[in-house]
Amino acid sequence: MDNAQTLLGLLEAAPSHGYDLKGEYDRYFGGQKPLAFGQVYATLARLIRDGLILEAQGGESSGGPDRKSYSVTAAGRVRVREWMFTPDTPEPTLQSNLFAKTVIALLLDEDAASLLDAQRACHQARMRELTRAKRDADLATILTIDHALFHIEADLRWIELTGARLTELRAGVRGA
Amino acid sequence: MRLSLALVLTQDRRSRVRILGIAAGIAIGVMLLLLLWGGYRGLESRSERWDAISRIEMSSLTGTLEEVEPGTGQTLVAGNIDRHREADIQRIDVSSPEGAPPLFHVPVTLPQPGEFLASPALAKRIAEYSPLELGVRFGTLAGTLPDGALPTPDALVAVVAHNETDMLMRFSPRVLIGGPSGEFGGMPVYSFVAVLGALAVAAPVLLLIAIVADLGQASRRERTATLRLLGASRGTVAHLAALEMIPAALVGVLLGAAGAWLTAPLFSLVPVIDGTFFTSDIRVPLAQQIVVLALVAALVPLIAALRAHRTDRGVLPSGAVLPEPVPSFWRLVPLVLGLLGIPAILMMNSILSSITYWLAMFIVLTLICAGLIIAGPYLTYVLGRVLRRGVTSAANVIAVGRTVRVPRATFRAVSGLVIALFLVSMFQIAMTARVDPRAEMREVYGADSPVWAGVVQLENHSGDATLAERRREVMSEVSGVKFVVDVYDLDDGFGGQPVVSAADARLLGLNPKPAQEFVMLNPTITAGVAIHAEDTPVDPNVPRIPRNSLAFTDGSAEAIERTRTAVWALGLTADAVPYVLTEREYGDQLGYFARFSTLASIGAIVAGGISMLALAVATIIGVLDRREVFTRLRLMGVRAGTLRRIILAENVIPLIAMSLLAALVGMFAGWAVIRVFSGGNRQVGLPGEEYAITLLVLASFAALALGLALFSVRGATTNARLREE
Amino acid sequence: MSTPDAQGTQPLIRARDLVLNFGQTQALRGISLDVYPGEVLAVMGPSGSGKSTLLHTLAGVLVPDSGTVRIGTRVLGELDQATRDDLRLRECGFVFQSGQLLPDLGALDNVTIPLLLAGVRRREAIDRGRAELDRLGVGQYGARYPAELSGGQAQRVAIARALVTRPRVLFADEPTGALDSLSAETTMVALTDLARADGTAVVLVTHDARTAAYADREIIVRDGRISAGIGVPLVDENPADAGTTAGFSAHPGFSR
Repeated sequence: MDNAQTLLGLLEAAPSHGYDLKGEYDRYFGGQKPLAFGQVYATLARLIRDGLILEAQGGESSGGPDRKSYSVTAAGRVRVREWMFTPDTPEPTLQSNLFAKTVIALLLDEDAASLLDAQRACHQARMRELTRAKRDADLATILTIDHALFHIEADLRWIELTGARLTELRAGVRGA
Repeated sequence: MRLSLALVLTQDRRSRVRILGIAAGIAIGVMLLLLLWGGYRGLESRSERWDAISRIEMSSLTGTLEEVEPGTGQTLVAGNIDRHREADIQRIDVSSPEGAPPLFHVPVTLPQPGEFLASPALAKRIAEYSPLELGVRFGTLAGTLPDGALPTPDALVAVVAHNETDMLMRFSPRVLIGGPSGEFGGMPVYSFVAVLGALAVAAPVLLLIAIVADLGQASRRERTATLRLLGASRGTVAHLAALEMIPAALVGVLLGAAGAWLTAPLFSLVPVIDGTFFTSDIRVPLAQQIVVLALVAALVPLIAALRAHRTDRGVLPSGAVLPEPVPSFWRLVPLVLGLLGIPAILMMNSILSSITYWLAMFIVLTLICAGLIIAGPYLTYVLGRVLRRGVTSAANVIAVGRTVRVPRATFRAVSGLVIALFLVSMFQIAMTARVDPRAEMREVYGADSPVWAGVVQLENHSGDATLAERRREVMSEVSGVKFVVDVYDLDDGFGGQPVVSAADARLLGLNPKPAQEFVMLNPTITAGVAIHAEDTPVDPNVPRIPRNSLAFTDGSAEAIERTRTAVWALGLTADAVPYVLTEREYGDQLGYFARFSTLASIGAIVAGGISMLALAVATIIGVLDRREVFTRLRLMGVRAGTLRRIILAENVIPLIAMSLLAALVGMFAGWAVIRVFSGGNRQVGLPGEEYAITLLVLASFAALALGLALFSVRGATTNARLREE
Repeated sequence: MSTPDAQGTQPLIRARDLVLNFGQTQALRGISLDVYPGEVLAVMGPSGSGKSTLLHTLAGVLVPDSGTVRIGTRVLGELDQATRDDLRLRECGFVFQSGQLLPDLGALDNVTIPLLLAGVRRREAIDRGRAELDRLGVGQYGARYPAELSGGQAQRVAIARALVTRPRVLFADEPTGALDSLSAETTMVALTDLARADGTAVVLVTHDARTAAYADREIIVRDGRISAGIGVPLVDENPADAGTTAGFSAHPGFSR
């Protein structure tokens, strides 16, 4: 999961203070492993350095220790979309990143279904490649490929199911 | 719980349509049941009324026990079978001090002496012909006889009233004792028909209802499988089938009763054995009808439940068609035994005595009939195997494939027709062998004279010379009568040799020697053989007894009937009835076949009709079973027309083959029956038009059934169904 | 990724703006799509998305409310029912999930039926049918009835029946839906290998990703629309009306 892009996405959805940002992140994605404050600030610093967000002194203070508020630049917005709509190569850690992309897309009112479809297309292209590779392969290779195919298929099913649940998910994200 | 489930399951439109269809089937069944039962009852009451009339006939023994004592207030009767043209007339002459002597089951008030009562059919006939030909025979028409006195609406019956003196002078009456008995069974033919009728009533209707219940079962199969999967027991499913049938049964029973009531006048016009029916006879009385209808209404759900229980295939999905076991070769055994039995019986002609001979024939026929049914599936299977190599078109390949795969189901659909065809062919072939006794005589004694068809004969049982003289006088006066000849018996102790006077002999075209006063004739003249003189001289001193008066007419029907009318009207019949030799039917066992053949044809049409319904239902079930596959064939581009050709071929091929077999075996059996019944000296001919008509009706039934079934192909493979895929 | 080259090849089936309603249900809402000769196209999508309806419309079984389907040079909407039936019989093959073989005929007889319907003599039809069964490796089961075949064997007989007329396009509707993984694999290998060998295009409707992986490209149908496609461009004209997604186009190998 790409924390930097995810935080960037969250900031685009709503400019925020560092403390609130961490809260947001934890609410959507931190279920088992909340993000450390240090990591949040380090990431924010890197995003500022890359010109993707701007630091602004907030008018209203919510009384927290940090009064700085962050908002996303035009370059930051492009980066978010690039990240969001670029499918990832099928790999074991794919799920968490894809989930983050989906939630961010929903928060930004982008077409979450399209990004799922894009990912799905990528997966299926891979499956076609593997299926083709099975032809004329020896049995050991075939078995290995079968294993890979089943894993990709599992991902695909998850994508399909998530796609079917987008409305539900959108309601959850909006209500949050 | 089950009731509410049944209610839920019958909510949708399709099951309502199905229930309506089943109700229609039950209605037809109930209608047939009531009509057949009505017909059976009609035969019974007809037979009772026949008994009342036939006990008065001169040949009957009733009334001979008591001597006629003039002036003692006895009721005197003389019953005769008179004839007018082609029709028999039941003539009852009666004198009675009572106003309404117990002649019939219903009281009939006698008219004044010299007057008569006629059945409506006779009254109509009298009006159609000149009085000299018919009307004058009976006297003055004083009214019509009530239906209760008549066996059938078309019976010709006359009740002629006389005073006692007249009665004694003109007839040889008997004394009427008591009323007609209420017992049934006077005529053995009728009791036989009664048994057949009882069987015919129950079997086809139950069959029909079972068929209809099956139709429901087939379209419910999927649902049944689902319910069973959900854990419903066999019993629950059967119970549901029964509950579902209740509305169909109620509606069907009521519709059927209405149908029978409305169509009774139409069906009463069908002649069975010797006449049509009174509509009131074939309408079943209300009380009995209620019992029958209640029984059927109760029976239908019961049958449905039993069939559902029996055909329950558990949770198997509808597509799973269970293959039938291949029918065994041994199924041929009864049929072959039966067919071999025929030549065996013919060869044993001389060994077996009459009754065992008949019994053996009966067993053989039963074997053949049952054998056809038993062998059917095997023959269907073999037929399919043989045809399988030769067929070329896709439709025929598929059709023959099914014949091989499910021969039992295929044959079952046509089995009723097979039996119907067998029976009707047998009766119709046997019927062609009706005996012509004159032809036999001709064979034995040489050519006969065509004039016999125009000769009215009158026997003189008492030998009264005055009577003979008066008859001669009267008949000679009738216009159209060329001459009258008196035939005597020579009372020489040998008896039997007919003798005529020389003058009469010349009238007959013989040329007696001048010296002869009397000429002896060949004894076979009374059997219709041409007259010739015997060489034996006749001694004029030997007494001669007048035995026969022969009126030679010009041969026209009018002249013949005028002659008869003159004899009757002038009271010269005594104990004899004027007759024309050629109209005398010789009593022959084979005559029964003629009388039964119409009944057999009706039976065949009923059985064939029900069988065709079975065929239609079986075909529809066959289509429903393969709905999925047919839908897919349609997707593949197989046209609906091709599908119809497939359905048509898989029914028509076994239908034609089995029908042909049944008809051939039936004809063979009919021929065999004639050989046995006649002692081996009769020939059979080609079956007549009744056979053709019956076959035509059966063929149109088949066409109708297949048309109905083909219609269902459309329903099973429409685009709407494609969507469900 | 090897896909048929869209450039320079005329599409075998060209469908444009297909709309089809069943009463209130909108089954197809503007689908455009080309199928090229010899390619294997997978049509994916959730149940009830309209993929089978699309297949039936492409095959001329269903007539769209609007839009056109062209097979070769012929526009299906301009043909009468009988001509369309005949076109399907001669130029299309069909394989379904199950229940397509005539239960009362042996495997060989089942394969000969399309030939007989097309007017081939029985003798020749039997020879060709037997050869086709051999090609699918089920030649030894010619005399068996469908009920006596395993699911995979029955599917291969069905494929033999579909290919025996050498159709230009084979429509397969969930051909592996009733099969276990291994049977599904052998069935799909046989189907795609032989179709490619014959130059027969395949339209493969499935919701199973592993089955779809045998295709050269695939489209996803959702709510009666093509929601995504993978492989060559779906439509080489009017891109604006093809879908509802907007806002991105930068991804390689993926377009609307």
